[in-house]
Amino acid sequence: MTLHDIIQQDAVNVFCNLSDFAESAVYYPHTGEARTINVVNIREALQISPDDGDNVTPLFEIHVANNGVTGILSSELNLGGDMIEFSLRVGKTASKRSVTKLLSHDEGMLVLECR
Amino acid sequence: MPVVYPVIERIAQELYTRLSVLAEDTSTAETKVSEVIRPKRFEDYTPKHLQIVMKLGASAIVPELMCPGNPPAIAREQTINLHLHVMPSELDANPLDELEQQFIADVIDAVTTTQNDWHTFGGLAIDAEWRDQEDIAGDGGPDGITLPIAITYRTDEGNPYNVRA
Repeated sequence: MTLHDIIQQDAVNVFCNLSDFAESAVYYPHTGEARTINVVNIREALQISPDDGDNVTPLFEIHVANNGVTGILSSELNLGGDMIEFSLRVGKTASKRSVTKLLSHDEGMLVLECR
Repeated sequence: MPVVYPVIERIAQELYTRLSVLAEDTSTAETKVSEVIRPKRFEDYTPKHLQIVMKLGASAIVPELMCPGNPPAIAREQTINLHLHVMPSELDANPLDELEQQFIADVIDAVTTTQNDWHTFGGLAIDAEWRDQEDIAGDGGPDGITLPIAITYRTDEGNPYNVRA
């Protein structure tokens, strides 16, 4: 097993472990079946909306394994229609948010922006 | 007892109604609008392809359209910004410009559909005109177009609920 493989496994088994930092969410690809994934959700402060200078909008930074079972494959991600369902505030009812940006990615992890 | 709204809010509601036709299943427009939103305090919607977000912008007095009298009439020009979100699938083969121009055309058509007197919004306004459109430039790339419409209306000076001709 190469270091490359170990890093990819760590992304799934360590960083996105539900017993540690990760939480469960539902990924709705633009086309295809929804599935449950594990994400680390950084709920950011409200941001000014790109639409209008006097509106604010919630912003989320989602860390997810580059994996087709418990995460999202970088090859399947579609920034025009993919959505992730999670609670906007911890403890509140989950709702779907659009994936608006791919902030960074490598073979192990994707970092996404949701609004 | 029904809620009574000021004139400008009634105009905004009429505009919202005209736009909402585009989101109905029975709409024959080329653009299949996903939804029309008037944001709440924290904008609890998520951006979507072919979504319209409607938000009141700047409001200014129009001195040359004021009317003397008792009570005098005050004229205002209210800009309402229509944010037309265009965020197609990465697999969509259509040029972005084509989608945007079609969206703009369908919105203008829906709002002006009564043709001769569309600009009065049911007798509530004096005039309405489209203003320069602007790109919505999210830092992740283009997200659509803002299409402002400026609506001029007149009310009693001390009673924003009462329309003045």
